[in-house]
Amino acid sequence: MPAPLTNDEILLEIDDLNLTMRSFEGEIQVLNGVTFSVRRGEIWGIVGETGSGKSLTGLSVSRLVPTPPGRYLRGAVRFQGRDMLAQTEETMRTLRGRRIGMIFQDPTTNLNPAFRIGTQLVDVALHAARLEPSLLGLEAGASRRARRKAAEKHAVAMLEKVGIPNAAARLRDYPHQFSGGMKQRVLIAMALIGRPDLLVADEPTTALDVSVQAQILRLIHGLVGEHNLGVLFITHNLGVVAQLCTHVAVMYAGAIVESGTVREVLKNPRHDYTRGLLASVPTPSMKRGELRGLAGGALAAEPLAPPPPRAEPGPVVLSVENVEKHFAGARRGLFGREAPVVALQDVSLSIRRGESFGLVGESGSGKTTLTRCILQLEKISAGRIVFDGIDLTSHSAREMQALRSRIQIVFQDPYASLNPRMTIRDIIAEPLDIHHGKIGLTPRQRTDRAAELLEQVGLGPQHLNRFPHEFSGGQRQRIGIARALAPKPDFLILDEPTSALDVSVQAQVLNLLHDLQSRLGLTYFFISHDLGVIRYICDRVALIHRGKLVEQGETEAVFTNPRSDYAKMLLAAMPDPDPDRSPLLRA
Amino acid sequence: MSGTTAHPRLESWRRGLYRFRQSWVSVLGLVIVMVLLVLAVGGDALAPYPQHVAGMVDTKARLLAPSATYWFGTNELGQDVLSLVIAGSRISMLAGVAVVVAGAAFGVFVGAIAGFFGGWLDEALMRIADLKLTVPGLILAMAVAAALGPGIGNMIFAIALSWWPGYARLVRGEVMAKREETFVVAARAMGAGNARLLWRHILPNILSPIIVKMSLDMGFAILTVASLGFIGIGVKPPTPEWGSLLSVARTNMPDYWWTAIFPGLAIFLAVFGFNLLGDGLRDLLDPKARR
Amino acid sequence: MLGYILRRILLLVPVLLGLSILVFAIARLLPGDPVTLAAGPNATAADVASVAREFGLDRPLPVQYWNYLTGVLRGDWGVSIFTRRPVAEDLKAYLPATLELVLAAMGLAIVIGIPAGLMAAVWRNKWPDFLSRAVSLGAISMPRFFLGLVFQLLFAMWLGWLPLSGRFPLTEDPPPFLTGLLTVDALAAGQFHAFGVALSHLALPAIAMCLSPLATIMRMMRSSTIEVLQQDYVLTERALGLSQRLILFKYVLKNAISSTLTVIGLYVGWLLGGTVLVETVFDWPGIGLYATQAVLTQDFMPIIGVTLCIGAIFVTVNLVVDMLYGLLNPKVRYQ
Repeated sequence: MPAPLTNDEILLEIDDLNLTMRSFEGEIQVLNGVTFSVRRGEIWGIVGETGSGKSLTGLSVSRLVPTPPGRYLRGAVRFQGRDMLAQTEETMRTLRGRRIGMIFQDPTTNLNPAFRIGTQLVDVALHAARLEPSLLGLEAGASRRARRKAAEKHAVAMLEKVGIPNAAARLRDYPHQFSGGMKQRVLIAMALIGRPDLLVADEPTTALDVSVQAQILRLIHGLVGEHNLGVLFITHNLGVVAQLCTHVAVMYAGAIVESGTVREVLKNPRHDYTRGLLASVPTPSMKRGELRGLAGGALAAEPLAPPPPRAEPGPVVLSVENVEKHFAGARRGLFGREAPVVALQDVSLSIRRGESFGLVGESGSGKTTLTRCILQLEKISAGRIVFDGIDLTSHSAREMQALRSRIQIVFQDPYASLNPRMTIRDIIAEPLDIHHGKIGLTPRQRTDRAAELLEQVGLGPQHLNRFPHEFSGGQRQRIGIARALAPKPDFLILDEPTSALDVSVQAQVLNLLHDLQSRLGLTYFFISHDLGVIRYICDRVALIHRGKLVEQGETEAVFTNPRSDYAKMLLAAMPDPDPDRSPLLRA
Repeated sequence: MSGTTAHPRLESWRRGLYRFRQSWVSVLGLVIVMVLLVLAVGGDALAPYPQHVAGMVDTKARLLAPSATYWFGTNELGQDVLSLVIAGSRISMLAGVAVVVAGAAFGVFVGAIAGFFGGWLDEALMRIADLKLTVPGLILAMAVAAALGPGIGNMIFAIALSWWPGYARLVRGEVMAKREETFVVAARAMGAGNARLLWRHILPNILSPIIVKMSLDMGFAILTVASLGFIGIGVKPPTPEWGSLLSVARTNMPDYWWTAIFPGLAIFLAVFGFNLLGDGLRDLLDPKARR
Repeated sequence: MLGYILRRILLLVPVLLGLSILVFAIARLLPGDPVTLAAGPNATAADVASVAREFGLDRPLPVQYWNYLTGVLRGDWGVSIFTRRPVAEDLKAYLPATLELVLAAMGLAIVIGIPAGLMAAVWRNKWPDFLSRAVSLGAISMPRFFLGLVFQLLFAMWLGWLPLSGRFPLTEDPPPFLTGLLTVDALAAGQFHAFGVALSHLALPAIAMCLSPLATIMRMMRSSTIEVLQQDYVLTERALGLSQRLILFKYVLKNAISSTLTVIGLYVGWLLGGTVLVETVFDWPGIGLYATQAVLTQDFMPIIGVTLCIGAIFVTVNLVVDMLYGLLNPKVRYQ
């Protein structure tokens, strides 16, 4: 039986946990002496980059790591005094959902699409109340019907608590009828419906927009206070940790390198890795080129060699004038169609030669559609797009072809944007091949140019004959940049170029982009949802919301003195890596 | 569960190779297919009684049970069943390969065009393919083969006619999915033309499922050839073909079962071999399709 | 949902029209002259012409097609050039036999295949999985006609447990006609002896026919279950303590079964076309045997009739499958 409830009871104690995973390369140690403990009312942030072992730590709490291929070498996970690694599966099951609630990253894939959310909530509630009918306010021998009814009532109450309006009616809805943020609320309700003592949340806000993230963080913070929970909050985002957590453990390569209260660790980091991680996150006070980043698990020795100063921005090179884009509506009924979807509405902006122009927007705001329109991959419904005095929209395919070499793009996902069946040489040389008529190089010269480009982005000619899968995410993004630079463009669209990367790698790529712009005199159209990155790299910025530009201007002006409500809301929602600026912790 | 995941291709390829070698059934499939190929090429030279294959009749040795001289026994014409079965592998393999290659070539062409260009062209081509799928393949092949008359070429044509829509649908779906992949969009943004997009970027990336389907289809093509032979359409005696051998042998049942069992087993083994191989290849090339 | 169903039903019309044109074209445009064949070896040119006139084959093709199409709508499916019997009546006589066979085979395949696939997925890479995979690959590779022959050899000729061939012996009284499916009719009339007789005849051909769809359904079910088991929501369900049984038989099953459903729909067409082989082996008086006769004599009216009939059943079954798919997938349903 659980120990009597006291306020500072130790809920979870992980002690020298060592885990290995078997794979095709043999057995790899993935957790290396992880030790920390969580008390009631504490929110522990477990922070680390890809492969640091933070998720496996979270799964180990409920013993959800499959064994094999996993194997616990030594150590213990003690929850309310019992060793979780020694319990039977049946006992574990009575703890899961009842004593320990869990939430995972992607709300769209974590709800079963074929069942009403009510069914899913009720089943978890019934499971939690199986041994303790009192949870649902029932006697021990209550009938099936009575239990079901009570569970349903409980589910409605829970949904209301997590902020789902009209909860009783929404029980009968399917997951796809909810937005991403609402789905995450449903999942939180599911995790808490059994009144657990400990909540394990694995990147619960990573797949969400910043504004929704802020709401979910506030929700979790409120629920923790109300139910006196202990929380394990796993994330890669230092800002989120600073906002929400009371304690933090920094993980690197399967081990905790530093842990303590949030203020201790984030304000006065003692370990090199923590310092490096913090130095990789762009902050408002940083000037361009000041990001330091990590090298080999420690703070990079010194800022990268400073590039020559940038030239002052020149005349307007690209202007988007009153652009509209509509998509045909979905089919409906026998022959009908729904009203067309308006993706872009009266969008106008102008970008000057040599500057970095940022475009900020949340998912579905139309920012990707705008890039596709500029690249002429989509026809615009109305308006003009003028590049260097040439109206792109009224151009023939042949004339556009000539212009394509001047406008290039770097995509978000470095894994998907390179053809897996082509060598790096072929990938980088392909634009040269396509624009052969204009660039006119022999195959030999193309190879030389590809090698030169690789060196420019920090790789080398030895990589020419490799395939994309042999590179890490950051390296691939460098290859993507090299490809974009191949036809000597003067205008580069950067579509969330660092969103899929770890912060330390992001810092390197941002520095590279800064460097390249200064050396080659490029114009950047930088699209991102990350306000910190935009502020760090952009001279001017525009905010797009539901297909409309809501604000644009000099970056500093927009950030320090936002005029539109949307900009104010977005800036307030942006998680700041300084715990003193957290509205949640201050309260 | 973190921001990025390891790229699966290298991993899966290595895992596939490892699994292919590990799973002895895939290797068994490969062995069966290799033996069949040798028999099909070697044919007459490997048959113990090549003169029987050529149509010689030996009335003294009619319907003998399997023995040291005639391993699989003899049929009602006194011909060595083993020799006939070995000779039959040539027809089966030839027809199987021809059907699959012809069906795949046409189907890939149609599917690629439909999937890549979309619009009314896609609608039209796919409606035709759907229609073809509605007509039972065997009955269509029967009707066409009967109308064209006996002969291997006619039979291959008749079967291939109902074979391409499967490839067209598969390839169309894959092309449509790949068309939206970022690396293809990237190539379009660079200014790559349609031919380059299809040849350089899309088709090389959808080869795996096509190869897997071809390998699995080899078995079914052989089965269809034998089925037509069994019904009495397609290859006619004296050309030895497994299906027609089986059909003739039905009348010898139950006393002279060997005349039917061995050709039947040959069909089974050939189809089984290709299925095992195709299954193994699927693990190797297309792990997502299975697990 | 209702609009979706209506649209799908409306879409059936052009599909069936296209099918009839296709079949008509194939039957009539290919070389081979059924008229000369039908008129007999000693027929004069005048005889041939009169046969052609009798069946309306002297008119231009579009006219022939139009006449055929309007005839079909009135229930007149043309006349066999050899037996001179109306095709519609033949189909009415033979179709129930084939349907009984296909339904029995499909039913067996579904009832065994789905649980077997589910189990194979749960015990993935353990012996039940390896066993079922090996057996299923074998079953897919086994020619139905050969399996039928082996069954006959074993169970009818050597062991004598089951009848060799046929559907219902002439010496027995058949049950009163209700659906045309003898087993069902016998049960409905309470004639258990007749039911036993019908069932004993049905057993071997149905088993010979069900193996391949059974194996395919099992494999499909296995792979889709494995895929569903790896979904994030299954981890969430486990993490919140739901029992393995509840997860598997409620949450996983409903998701896994929908892709298998599509395979089942496609297999119905395959079975209907493939009855030819099993019916030949077991002398089962169905449309497959009927079609074989017609093909061998190049009697095209029955060929067109059978193909059209099978095609119509196939598209209808797949329509039903799509509806079921919609029921299982709320996302589709709400579109």
